[in-house]
Parts: sequence; structure tokens; C-alpha cells
Amino acid sequence: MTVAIALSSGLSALVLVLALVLPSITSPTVPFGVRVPAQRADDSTVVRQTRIYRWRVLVSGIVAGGVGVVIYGVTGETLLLPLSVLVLVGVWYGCFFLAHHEIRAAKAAGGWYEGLHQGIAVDTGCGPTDRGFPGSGWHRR
Amino acid sequence: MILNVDLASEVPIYQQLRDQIVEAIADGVLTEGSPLPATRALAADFGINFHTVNKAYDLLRQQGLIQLNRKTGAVVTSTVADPSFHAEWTARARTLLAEAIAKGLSADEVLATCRFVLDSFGTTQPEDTP
Repeated sequence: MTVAIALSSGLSALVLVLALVLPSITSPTVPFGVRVPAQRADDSTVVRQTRIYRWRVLVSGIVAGGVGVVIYGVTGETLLLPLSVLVLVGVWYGCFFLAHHEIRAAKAAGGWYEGLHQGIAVDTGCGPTDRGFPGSGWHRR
Repeated sequence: MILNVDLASEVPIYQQLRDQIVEAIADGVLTEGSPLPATRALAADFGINFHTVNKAYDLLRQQGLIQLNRKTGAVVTSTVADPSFHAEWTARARTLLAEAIAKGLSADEVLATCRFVLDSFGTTQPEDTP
């Protein structure tokens, strides 16, 4: 029983930490899965949505943990403990989706890509990487 | 070799890929026998559908610039321009040159640009292999 409680609490904490650090570890030009120009990475909408997302996740995590404790206190059923983790994952997805939706709407309304070109560059590994770039064999030039 | 795709361009992505590979061959970056990246790998790197890369490779194969093989994948091949290619290419060049003249460029400017572009080919030599 103690193991189940510890495992469930640890898992909930891990999910909560992951959800909270997610905006920091993803690319700043793809906040919440929305591709934005580099100069819009610090746009007020993005900053506000990141803050709201973190608050939502944090409050939801505390509520999910509290509900888990209450359910366990009432039923005494350890099998119900992982339920709070599942609820937290669901809420995480919901918070992410809401932030994604808001930023996407702001991007469309503000015409963030108007006058800009979106391009992708890929190093194929075929032939020299670039003239003068220190790739393989550059030292022999 | 670095390939670029302009997502905002009116030129289809497969055409952009095809054009850059042709230029790499003309530049000497890709020589006979040079392997091209696998279609799925290139598509994944660009975040595009692999059918788009497939279409570019298929176009290059039809034009005799690459060979597609199950074992070796896409490989640059040597090719000799046949008379039909010469006629078709001349027609396209005629349109391109006509655009320059129609826009008011002088014949000398057009010729100088053609010379400059031609001279730029072959300046990038492939790396020496040990």
C-alpha cells in the first residue's frame, strides 16, 4: 500500500514537473506546437499563454492530487490512486490545447507571417556541407 | 550539400528539390555515383510528405539524371543529352531569355548573366576522399 502511494505520488510529481517545464524545453519558435516567426517568439500572447498554461497545470495538479487523496481516504482503494495521474495527463493535454488554440488564433489574426518567407534547410550529408565550412576534410584545403 | 525549401514559394516543393539537385550536379557537388539521401529520411528532415521527395526523385529519374535502385537507393548517373532534350531545353531557354528582353535587359546584360551563371558551375569541387 505504501509502495502504491509513493509510486503514484512520484508519478504525479514527475508528470507535473514535465508539464511545467515543457514550454522551456521546446523550441521558442514553436510554442505549444504553433510555428511562429523568431521575432514573435516573445510576443505578449505567447508569454501570457505560457503563464496561463503553467498556472492551469499547477492548479490542476494540486486539485488532481487532492482528489486522489480524498478518493483514497473515502474508499481506501489503492488501485484508484493512479487515476489522479491519468486525470493530470488529460488536464495537461487540455491546457496545452487551449494555449495552442489561443496562439494559433493570435497568429492568424495578427498575420504574423505576412511579408515573411518560411523556409527549411537540411544538410543532406551528400558532398561538401558548404564552401569554407569546417566539415569533413576542411583542414586539407 | 544543403537543400533549402521555401514554404512560401509558388514553386512546388518537389520542383524546388529537383532544381537544387540539378544545380548540385552542374556545380560538381554531386558527381556520377553520388548517393542521394533516402526519400523517407529527407522527407522526415524537412517535415514534408515522403511522396513529395519521391516525386522529385522520379522526375530526376525520368530525366536520366539519377538511378533508383532498391539496394543502393537514389544515385547520380552520367547522362548524355539527346536531340529531343536539346530542342525542349532550347524552347525553355527561349522563354527565359524572352522574359529578360521583354523586361528591358540588353542583349549584352543577358549574355553577361548567362556567362556568369555558366562560370559559376563547376567551381564547387567534391571533397577529396582519403
